[in-house]
Amino acid sequence: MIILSWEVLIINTYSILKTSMLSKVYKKKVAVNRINIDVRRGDIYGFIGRNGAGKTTLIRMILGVICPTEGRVELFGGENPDTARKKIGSSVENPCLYMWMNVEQNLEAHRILLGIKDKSVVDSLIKRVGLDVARKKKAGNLSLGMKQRLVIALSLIGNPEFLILDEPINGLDPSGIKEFRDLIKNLNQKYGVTVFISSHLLSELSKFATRYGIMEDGKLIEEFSSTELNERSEPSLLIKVDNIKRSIEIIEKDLGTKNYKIRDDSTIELFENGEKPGEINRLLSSNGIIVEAISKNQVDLESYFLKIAGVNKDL
Amino acid sequence: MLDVLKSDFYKARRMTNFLILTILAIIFPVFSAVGLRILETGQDITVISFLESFKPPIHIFSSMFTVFFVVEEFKSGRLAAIVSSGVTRVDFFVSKMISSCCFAVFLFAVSTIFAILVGVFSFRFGHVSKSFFTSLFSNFMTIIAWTCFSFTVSFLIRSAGSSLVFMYIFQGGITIFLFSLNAFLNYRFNININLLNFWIFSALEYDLMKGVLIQLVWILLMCSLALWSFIRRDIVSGADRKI
Repeated sequence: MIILSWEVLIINTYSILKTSMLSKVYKKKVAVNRINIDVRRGDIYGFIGRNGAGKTTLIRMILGVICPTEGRVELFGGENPDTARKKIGSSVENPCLYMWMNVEQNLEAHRILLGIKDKSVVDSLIKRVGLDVARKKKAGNLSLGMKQRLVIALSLIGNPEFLILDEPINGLDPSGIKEFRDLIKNLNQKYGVTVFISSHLLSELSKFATRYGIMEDGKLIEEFSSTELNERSEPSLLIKVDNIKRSIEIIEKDLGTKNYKIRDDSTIELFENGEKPGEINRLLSSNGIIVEAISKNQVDLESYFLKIAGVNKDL
Repeated sequence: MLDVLKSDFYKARRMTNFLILTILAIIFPVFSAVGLRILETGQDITVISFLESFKPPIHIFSSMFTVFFVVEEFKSGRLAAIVSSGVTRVDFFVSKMISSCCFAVFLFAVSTIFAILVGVFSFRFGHVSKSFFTSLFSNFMTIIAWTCFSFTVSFLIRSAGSSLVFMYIFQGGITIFLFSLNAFLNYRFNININLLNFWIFSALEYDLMKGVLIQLVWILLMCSLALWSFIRRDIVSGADRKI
């Protein structure tokens, strides 16, 4: 039992991806600035950042497509990079396909490249990503969403242990997004596949990621788990009143806080006492304020990101 | 590397360029024969002169195919996916070189076979001398030289149009330059040296065996330069450049 516990402990602490002071400098522009990331086996790591934050550059360095200026990348606990990358499936930003070949041929070419003998893998992947009706269609004639599905299928050839996906749900329709989410969850929970995924669709990411990293101006500014996000995301209160000036005076004097934001000329967002809407209502009403509406506003991943990334600094 | 090579052959066979260029390689000898027949110059058409008549187009076809074959990997962005799948850059490079040369040889073989068939039918080619095989070998080496040159330029420039323009202007420009330099050295300094003997595309015209050695040295230098550049540079896809 003790041995089993230790084995479980070792597996859970095994780093699939570790970067040390990873940097990329283009002439005078620092695209990635000394990033230290640690992705453990079994994680679904959601990588978040604004456009131009350096996410794709970092992913490309991890995949060996571009050379780092400084630092190093360690895959699968320090394995030889070329051997380690054989266990990785990836897709980087724009759908990269051979436009003159059809869906089946694109997958077949990649299957041959990876040395996979089993030809039925192509057929099962086409069905899995929902491209059965378009299998003979040239990649150049596919819609963006279908191209994205094909790219996901390409990343899954070879049964990778680690998936690195850069904006994989761009262009997918709502049913496609749901299928993708279910696919990732299934791969992670049933087959233990570790996933490193960057996306702008934070609401989607928050539904299945287990850890998050926020990147801004080339730096990793914060890392946290989904549990920690829930703890940090206390609900706020949106209060619609008839006299905003008087309401602010009462909040500052009687509650002793300035942790609020004026949303518009009749709405205040209060970031403390989010669990006590009744008491806030009573306090304002007893001071002659008409409270027209009061509701809880749960801070989600998107709001948290916007706050951390400094887009809404006065939040 | 064998898997990379198999994948390259799989992709190349399905390229539209390959089909079109193969058809052109078959058609050119036919057009050439028809043209010569119509002109009826009165000169005896030998098998060697007939093969020489459409040698330049075949070189152009092989170099065009090589450029499109290499550049497509950069343009489509698939090269990034290939490298990130654990395929080493050296394996990718060598596989591309081998497959490009194989297809160049294929185009050469197809055009030569059709040329001989058409020539036998049109001009009643009979006796084949030793010089026929020498000429064939010379053509073969020139095709390989053109393929390796276009391969190098494609890896360095990574754009089809720019590579093709650079190649033909560079080759023509160097030839004219060396020719002029020969004349200058001879006239000014009385140095009787033919620098074209040392240029990859003209070395075979003067001495076959020395020419082959010079070509092989050039091919080695060019491919080493291309490989060194490829290993050191970042891989940026054409899709990224558009953005």
